[in-house]
Amino acid sequence: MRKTVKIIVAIIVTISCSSCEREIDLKLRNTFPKLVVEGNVLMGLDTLIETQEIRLSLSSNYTGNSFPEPVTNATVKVMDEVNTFDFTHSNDGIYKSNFVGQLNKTYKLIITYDGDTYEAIETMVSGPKIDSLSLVYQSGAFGDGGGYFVAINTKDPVNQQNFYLWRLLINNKFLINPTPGNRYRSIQKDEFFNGQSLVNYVPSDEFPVKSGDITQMQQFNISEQMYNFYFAIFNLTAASSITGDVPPGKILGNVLNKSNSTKNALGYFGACSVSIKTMKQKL
Amino acid sequence: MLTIIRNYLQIILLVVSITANAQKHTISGYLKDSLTNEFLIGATIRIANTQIGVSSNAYGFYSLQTERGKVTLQVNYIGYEQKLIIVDLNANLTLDILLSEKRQTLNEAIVTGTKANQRIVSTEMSTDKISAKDIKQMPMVLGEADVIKSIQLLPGVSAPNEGSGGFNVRGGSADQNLILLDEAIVYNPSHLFGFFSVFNADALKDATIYKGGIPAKYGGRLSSVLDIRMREGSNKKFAATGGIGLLSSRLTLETPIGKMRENGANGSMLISARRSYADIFLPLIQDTTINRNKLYFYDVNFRSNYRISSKDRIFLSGYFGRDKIDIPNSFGNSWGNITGTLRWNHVINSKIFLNVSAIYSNYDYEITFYPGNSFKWKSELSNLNFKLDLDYYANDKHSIKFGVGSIYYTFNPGNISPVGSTSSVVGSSNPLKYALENYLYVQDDYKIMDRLSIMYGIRVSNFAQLANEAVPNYVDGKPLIFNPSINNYERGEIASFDSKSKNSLQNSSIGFEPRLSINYQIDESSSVKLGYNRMYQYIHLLSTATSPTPLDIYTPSSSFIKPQIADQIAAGFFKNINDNNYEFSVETYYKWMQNQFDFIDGASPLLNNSPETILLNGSARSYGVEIMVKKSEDRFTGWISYTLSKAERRTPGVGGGRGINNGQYYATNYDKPHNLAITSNYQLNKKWAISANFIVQSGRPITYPESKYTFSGLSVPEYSERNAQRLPLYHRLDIAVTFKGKETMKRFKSQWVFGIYNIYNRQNAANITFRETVSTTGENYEVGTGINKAYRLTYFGITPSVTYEFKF
Repeated sequence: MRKTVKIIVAIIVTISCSSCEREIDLKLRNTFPKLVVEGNVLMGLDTLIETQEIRLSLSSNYTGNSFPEPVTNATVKVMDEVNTFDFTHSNDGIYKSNFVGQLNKTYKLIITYDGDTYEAIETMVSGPKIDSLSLVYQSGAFGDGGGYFVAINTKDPVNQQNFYLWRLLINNKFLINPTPGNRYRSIQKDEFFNGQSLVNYVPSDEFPVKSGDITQMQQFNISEQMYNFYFAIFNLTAASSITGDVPPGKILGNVLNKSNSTKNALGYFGACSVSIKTMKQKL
Repeated sequence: MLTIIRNYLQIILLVVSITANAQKHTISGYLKDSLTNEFLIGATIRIANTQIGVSSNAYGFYSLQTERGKVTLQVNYIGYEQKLIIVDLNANLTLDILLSEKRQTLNEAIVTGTKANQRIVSTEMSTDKISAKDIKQMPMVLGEADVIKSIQLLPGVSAPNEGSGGFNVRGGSADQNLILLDEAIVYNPSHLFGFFSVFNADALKDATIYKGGIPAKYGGRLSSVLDIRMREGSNKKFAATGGIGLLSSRLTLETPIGKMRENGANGSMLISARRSYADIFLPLIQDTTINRNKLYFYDVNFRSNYRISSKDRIFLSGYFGRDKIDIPNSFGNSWGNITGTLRWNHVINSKIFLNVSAIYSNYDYEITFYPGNSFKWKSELSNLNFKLDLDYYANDKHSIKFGVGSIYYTFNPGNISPVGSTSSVVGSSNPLKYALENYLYVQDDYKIMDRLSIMYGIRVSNFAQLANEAVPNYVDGKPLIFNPSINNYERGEIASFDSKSKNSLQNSSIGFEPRLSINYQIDESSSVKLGYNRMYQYIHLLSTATSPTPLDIYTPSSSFIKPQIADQIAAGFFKNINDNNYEFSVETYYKWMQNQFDFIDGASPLLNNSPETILLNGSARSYGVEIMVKKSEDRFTGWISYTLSKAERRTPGVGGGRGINNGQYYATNYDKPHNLAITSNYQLNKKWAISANFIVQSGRPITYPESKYTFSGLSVPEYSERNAQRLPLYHRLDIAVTFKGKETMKRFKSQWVFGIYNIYNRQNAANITFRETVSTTGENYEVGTGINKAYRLTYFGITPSVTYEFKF
């Protein structure tokens, strides 16, 4: 080829917006309601916790406007090696009992409901306290949702395998929403930072704080099993259609039906040490 | 190693001397394209009016024997003019034969002569070949010619999803396909999360897929072999080919190397590059997880060859490609393949052809997690492959293939490093894993009688995992145990560590893989074939995703993860109709697969260096019927393929624990009982051609929730048994029109391709997902409402495209 060939190319771009996500109506198979257990025996690392709470509810149809009903007529008790603590229903399916949780003690939850007996066993997990809270400014990933976020400072112990769960309360209200961030921020295992300090770590970047807000961060030291359960729950509730690390599956907690093994309860019964720090924000 | 090769060579030469036949002479040489001198793979050469014939091997070489005297050679290749050559044979003859590409003759009255009935004669079954030209003619998304998307239209081949870079063959998973680019393994064939494949059609010659009756020279994967060959470039003149499309632009340059002689130079070189500018179009994709920030891919193909002597030729080829995505504060990902092939072809004598190759392949990915404790994770897999293949055309009844090879793998399961000053992640790396796969194969194509031929062979493979790290010994040898008190699985306790000295043998397994196919020719235009093959796969893709993702990395067989084994039987009936113008085939198969690993429910393989603690060992089976009618020449070309099949898995639990779906058979992610594809191309006149695809498939299996409950302030779905439901029926029609520009300048050719993908805008479901809806509170916080909804994701509705292509 000797000549330089001049190529003039004109392309009319007529590309349509062709990828989209739409809400659809889908007839789903429904299953019978199952007992759902949510509750922990807690031991305060920096505050004394004297009241323990267990919440019971029933699962309901996936779609539609029905909400899970609270279970108010169950018998709930927790046993350690020596004592039995009876729980009484207070409101909205929440059962309460007054006792103080102790480290390394094994607790057994026993629930009698609708003729079936359910049991769960968990051993109280030790772990570090939150040293302090701080504020961190983060800009949003897509130019929105930026602001000041509550961060924690803590030191991971070197000689222990630790699993963490954090909960954020603003003005006494627990805040969470179904995003993938829960999986990456609200739970952690120390596999990659064993023995290190977590400095200005933001467990929840969905809820920026305002001046005057009372913010509380709760750091739960949880078992590996409980971590796995939360990981799976956070995964399922932040389904992205593009990625999806874990396929939908039957996620079982640790509450077993001793009368009928095909009807195990959903949810998880934990025993955790917890560090709670509160701070009034001045921005 | 060398002594082994020498011994085998001696044995083979011994066989030569026994079977040598004094009355016969050998004709051998290369089959080439008349314009560019590029080698033609699988072209057939026969002695007219006899059953004697061979097809050219992967390097274009052929050799056949016949009685002395006057014979007529009949040479055929799809898309090329038939050539008849009369030779008077009184000694061995070396003859390179040039075939000319068929010009589109638009007068159908012209009789093009007898077409080849290669599919009827050959022992090969369950095999399809697509040329780069076929690939380029098909209408594709955004006009990107795509080899993977093209083979997905063949019978027995399906895609788990529209935007899937992988493919499934006869009920096998995507990692069970051996994808070779110039004999180098390509570990991940996807660009842009699988929407496009890594192969640039301008640099390709053709692609052959083996779904069954897999020749003994291939191994290492259970389900199929996709053998893609690059063009070597013209050794006659410089040429440039290019294309400008909506998604990417590409340019290919080819040039002769060395002194120009009458029949071309001694060597040639081709280089082809492509880059996407998807970044510009990203805002058009609505999903905010992918529509902003950095996102592009590019790839470069290179190939050259040089003739050292009449008997020796060397080749050097390579591929380099990369994808990059970066969403600051959220997620970053980058991945790519590198391959390199150095090959020496040597004609030992007119009957023996030797190929020696050194091949390198690499795949790596990098992922950055920005949330919270930012870190970067990098994982890599590479291999070095040395191999030697011998084609020995013993006599007119036997043609023997023999080879040995070794593949040395290096796996980097991952290393982690902190990103940013506030990250408290401590950088660390998992020890590399090393393994050596050795193999040896021998195969004989034996023409027992005029009508009966048989291909039988065996491949013996060995996989050795080499020690480089302390391997855990679990209590009772169980890496995964079931704990009845929590009714769930747990990691097994580690009792001790097994520390062998570096590079000593950690674990080894051996596989005997018989291969067999039989062809009984009923008459000139029909035959029945039977096939059996056993395959071993020693490296495993541990992934929970429905289709391949960039984060997939293979892991070697170990004492915990046993090699996968597949047995397949297949039977087929092949009939050519209307003077070989139409090829009809029907095939049926049954396949069993052992050691099919699956994850326990809820487990994540990401960043997990002890996958054995979350894996269950299961089995799989698949069976089906495939029907195809194909017309490959003249103005109208195309095929209709229909597959009726079933692909199931069974994963029982261990230690009293639940299996997946209680240990019952369940549909695999890619089980599509009905799969119909029609693809066609019609040349209207010299300027215009029109092509169309029509596809109807069962929706893939999916798992739907069957209830919800509240936990941790979230509305949590409880899912049914795995893959108990199906996505809605998938169908679409694509059309493309090609307009050839005027040849205004000498040698300059151009064409426009206008395409419309999914012309009637069917909203096919790529996925259906379920989410809790959110609402904004008085404090301007987005929180869950407790109400869940189903969402259907469609990747491609009606998508027009335009591509400009040129060549000079």
